[in-house]
Amino acid sequence: MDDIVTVRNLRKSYGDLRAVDDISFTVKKGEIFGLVGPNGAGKTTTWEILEGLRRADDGDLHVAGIDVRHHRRKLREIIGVQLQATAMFERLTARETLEVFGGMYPRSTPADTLLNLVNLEEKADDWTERLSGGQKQRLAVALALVNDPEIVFLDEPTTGLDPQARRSLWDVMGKLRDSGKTVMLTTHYMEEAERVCDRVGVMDRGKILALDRPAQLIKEFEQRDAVEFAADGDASAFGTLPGVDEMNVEDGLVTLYTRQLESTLTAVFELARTREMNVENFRVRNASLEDVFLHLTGRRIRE
Amino acid sequence: MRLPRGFPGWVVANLRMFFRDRATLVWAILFPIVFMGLLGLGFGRADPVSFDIGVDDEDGTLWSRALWTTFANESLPFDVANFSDQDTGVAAVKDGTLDVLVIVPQGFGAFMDSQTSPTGNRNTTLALVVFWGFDEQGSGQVALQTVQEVSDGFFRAATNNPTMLTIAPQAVSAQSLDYIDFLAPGILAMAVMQSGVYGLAMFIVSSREKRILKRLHATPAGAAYILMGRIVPALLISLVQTGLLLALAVFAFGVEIVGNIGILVVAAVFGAIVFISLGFLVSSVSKSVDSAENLTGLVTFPMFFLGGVFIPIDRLPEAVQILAYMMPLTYFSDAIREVMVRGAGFADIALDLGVLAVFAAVVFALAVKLFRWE
Repeated sequence: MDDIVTVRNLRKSYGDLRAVDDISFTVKKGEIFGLVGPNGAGKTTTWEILEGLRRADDGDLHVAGIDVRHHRRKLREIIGVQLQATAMFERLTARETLEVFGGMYPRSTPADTLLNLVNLEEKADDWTERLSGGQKQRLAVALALVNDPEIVFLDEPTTGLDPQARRSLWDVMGKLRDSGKTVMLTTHYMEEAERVCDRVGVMDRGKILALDRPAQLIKEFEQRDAVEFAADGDASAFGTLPGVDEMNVEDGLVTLYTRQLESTLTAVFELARTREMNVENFRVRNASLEDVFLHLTGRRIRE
Repeated sequence: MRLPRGFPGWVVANLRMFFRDRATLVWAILFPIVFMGLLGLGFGRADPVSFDIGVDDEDGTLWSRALWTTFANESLPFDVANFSDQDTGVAAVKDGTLDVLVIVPQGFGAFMDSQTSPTGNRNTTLALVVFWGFDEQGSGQVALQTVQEVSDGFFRAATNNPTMLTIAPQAVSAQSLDYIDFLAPGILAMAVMQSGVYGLAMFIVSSREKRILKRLHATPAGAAYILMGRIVPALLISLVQTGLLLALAVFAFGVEIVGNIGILVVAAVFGAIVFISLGFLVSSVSKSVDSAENLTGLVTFPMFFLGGVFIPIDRLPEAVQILAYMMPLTYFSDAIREVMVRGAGFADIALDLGVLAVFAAVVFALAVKLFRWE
């Protein structure tokens, strides 16, 4: 498949802060491409540069064959944009909002088609101020589709939504991919990146630390279980327990990766008892993208 | 600017938002109407039951005194004041203090002597020069007719002959008579100012604060499209406002629109553009809705008091006048008032309109230069 987005050596600084620090990646036509990382990682800055809303300091950037740095208007005609935390005109209805924005493009998709796509038909004539958070986000996504774009940029579209609203947006993204559009998604929900994205870049402090299919990224953690607990005192002894491949300690929260869950668990409790340590918030789970991030950065993503 | 395919829809959407926003609606439409209504009731006009008449007695004989004491007779609807010279009297007619000024010329006594003496020459006539205020209310004209009747009566009573005393009327274009005539155009100007500055500033700043501007920026529409979509409705609303306030002034308070309505509309458009530009500038330098509100107040409040809305500029202390002449509202309220109450044509308000145009151009250019999407 063709690359529809190419980013080479993109840099953007704000004063001393390197918001985006020399990143490169390509996106294939028709895939859902994600950047996952904590707030301040540089995801939004990257998206806004590709949307033509910010200027890059340096880099070679092409979106659908358009040089982003020189043909911003042409770019805006073919991309769809949902910005992080954008409000709507409170006193326009959902339908009016779509029509007004649609009018700003050379061609547009009928409002009702879009409302149907994001399941907002029954809210079509409500002022946007009366929509719930999830409904607003769905409207924002519909708004990103108003010009029938080839590429849709979504910046944390599910942040702050309840699980049901989140899943309903995942469905929408799936429909977009099915209709041949390329979806560019940022999120700080690891689960979302894992479930939705075809390929995902793990981003932190302006750099992309790893980029691959989610399954590929967690491959080295496959067959392993993660044992998590909060422990007081010196936790280093846990790292040498039977079966433990890798350990991560952050703010008293210990994560052990093991291929021999039973013996590791026994050893953990044994150690805690002999050293009279308190072990709390005990949890055993399958390894996930969250562990990839933890592995790469030594930190957890906090919401 | 891209061919504005959706532009009419964008304008309509902005109008919708305006009419759906009660706060703005009250502020822009209802407040000026209530304001004018209250002031109109407070300072409204009384029916002209009496006329202010000035007499300049240059004759100083018994006859001349007899004439003006006749005017001062309690049964007549005249308040008489004496003037020692003609210029002061004419000035009083001009500024509306007097309805008419009667000049009793030297030789009036001799003329009356000759008319009443059996041997005198009764074929000569004498003209009383009467300066009458030509104004929108017509009270000067009524006063003039009354003066004519009273002087006829005086002559007949004295001589038993048909009058040989004529009236030589001199029309003086007079200023408005009642405060409401001054006030109505001022409030209209003020309303256009308030809604222009407030309306655009709040729209831009709140849209920026909520990042709607940024989202609009992500479309291919461009700044001109986005902003004009708001400026055009703002202009329309200013005109509606002007119409409503004019109707109130005319039908409720009897203010007569002396000038051409077309010129009035043009003047209103000039003013609206100035204040919309000012609102634009306020939005460009304000970081938040709060600071925009404060700045709007800071900009409009001095104009509210000093811009010729309530107090004529020439009644202000001189130092304050200089300040007043730096304010666009001063020129706008003057232009509206000149056309509305004094029937001014384009030539008469060219200076006002010129100043407004320059002001708008400078402010708009500055606002564009400082404009930010986020």
